[in-house]
Amino acid sequence: MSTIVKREMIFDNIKVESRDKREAIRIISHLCSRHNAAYELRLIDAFRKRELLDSTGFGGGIAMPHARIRGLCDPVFAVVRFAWPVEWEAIDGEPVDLAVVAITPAEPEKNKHLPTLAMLARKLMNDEFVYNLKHCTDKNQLYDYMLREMR
Amino acid sequence: MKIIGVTKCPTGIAHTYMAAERLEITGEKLGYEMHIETQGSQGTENMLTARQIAEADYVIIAADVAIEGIERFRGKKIYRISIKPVLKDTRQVFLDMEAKAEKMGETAGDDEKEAGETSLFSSSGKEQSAVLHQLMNGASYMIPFVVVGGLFISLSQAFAGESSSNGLLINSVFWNKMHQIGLLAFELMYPILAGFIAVSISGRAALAPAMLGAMIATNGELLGTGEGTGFLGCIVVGYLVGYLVKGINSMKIPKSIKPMMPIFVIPFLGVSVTALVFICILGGPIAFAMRSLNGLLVYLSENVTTAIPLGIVLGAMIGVDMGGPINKVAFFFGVASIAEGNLQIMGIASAAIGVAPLSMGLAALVGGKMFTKEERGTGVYTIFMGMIGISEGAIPFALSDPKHVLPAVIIGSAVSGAAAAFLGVTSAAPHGGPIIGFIGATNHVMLYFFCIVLGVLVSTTIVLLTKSRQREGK
Repeated sequence: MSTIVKREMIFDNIKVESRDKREAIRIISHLCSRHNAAYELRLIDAFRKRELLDSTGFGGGIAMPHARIRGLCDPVFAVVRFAWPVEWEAIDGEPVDLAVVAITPAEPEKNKHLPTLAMLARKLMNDEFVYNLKHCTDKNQLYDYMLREMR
Repeated sequence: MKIIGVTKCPTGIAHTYMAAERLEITGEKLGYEMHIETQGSQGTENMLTARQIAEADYVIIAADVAIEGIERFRGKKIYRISIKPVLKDTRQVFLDMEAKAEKMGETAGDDEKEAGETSLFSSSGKEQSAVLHQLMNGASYMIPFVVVGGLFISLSQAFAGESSSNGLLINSVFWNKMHQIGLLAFELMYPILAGFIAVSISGRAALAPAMLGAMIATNGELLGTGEGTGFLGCIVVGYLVGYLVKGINSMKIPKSIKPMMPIFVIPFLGVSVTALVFICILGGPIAFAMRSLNGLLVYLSENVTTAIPLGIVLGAMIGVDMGGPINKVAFFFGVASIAEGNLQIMGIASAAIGVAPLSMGLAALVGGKMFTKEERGTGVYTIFMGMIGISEGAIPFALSDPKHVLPAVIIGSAVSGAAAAFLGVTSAAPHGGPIIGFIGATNHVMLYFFCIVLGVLVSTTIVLLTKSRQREGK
């Protein structure tokens, strides 16, 4: 299986001036939409809807925002590291400095990538994985580490 | 100590697995043997085995939505939480577990209902509920045909039927044609029933053999039994062909003839086998069983002393799970009887169907503070659902307060059913609620409405009384 980790979807040192979740989601959507304004709005909407259900900040300074988009061909997976921590209403109350983003097709028949995401979700519960991810020094290291772990 | 668990979150993409991983890691650190089943959007994984369940000391259910297969854990000590506390502090979950776990089966309310309901049909696990699901699939495709057939026939009889020494005659050309079209629909519904039972078992290839098989099974002359085997035969054909085709499909077949399978081999073999089995073996016994069942139902519904228990049982079945499997069985009984020309069974079912939502909607409107604000807001809407015969409208009420709502609804539905049976109300449309009366599918509109009103009054009174008593008790 080819990996869903793509170099151009790893973002480091992203500045969220207001340090709040709203702006962070807007910026993440902008980064993932590749300058398609209409798609960007849909992404913002989908991420917010998911956050309304319950915060995806599951503690330890990491959040896993995800969006389901109807008509999407392939899942998009991104890593966004913030320049400074963002308030995410996480369940442990800690601000978030790294977001692992998953955008998946809403149609059930395009579900082949879900095992990968499930694996990722499980990895994020692993202290060592999180420690290593947080201690990557730059974008390239983030990419290499994710690529190694996600195959 | 052995601990098992199930995790499920609303989207099933990430948190289901996060919670499962946390529970496994933390549990093993604490020295427990852990098995966690995940119910995510990719389906159920790490499904708990019967043995794991039997050996487990505790069951942790971390879910924000209802999980599948809760009845597997009956008699187990269950600790229910939502996903969030698991991710927040997993260790605390294990600390709380022993104190907060409750033995399932002892807790009142929807758990019990959930478990009781499914156990009737799935005492041996998944297989049986799949069987019921396949039957319902066939029935749901059949129902539109029964509706059209029933309406056309009953309308033409109502407007132009003239009784004569040879039975009911329809002389008007227009109504006569309509009557015949209705009969066509009735003829077609058998193949549809069998066809779509088979399709739900083994897919498209089973459609042709099952439909043809059903036409053989309902043709008394072909069978040599004089009478067809009716819907019983069609159900048998559906399952027979379905599993036959499933079997053929699972055989190892050379690649070169594979393309021929669905268009040539399966239809040919399927029809041949079904025809043989029915003409030589099954036709006689099933035709006999069908005759006996019909005779029994007709006898039960004609005789006042037996009609009332029949009405009570069917009505209670309609009310007990509001659109669930038990309700569907009673409903299907009615539909099948229409197909056999006995409209009284459906009359009982139709009258009972509207009772649950109508009475809950009414109770919510007049019950004031006994109901939550949301429930009162949905009162009118729920009554509307009742008017058009959607029993499911009452489900929110039943879920929020099963102890008081369910008995009321069951008794009310049973009263309606019994009244309809006693008064001999018939219905030619496989549907329920007052709407059936408006479109003229019943034999006597006022009696039909009377049955519904009676049930609704009983059900509403009971729920209001028990709820108010509960409030005084507080």
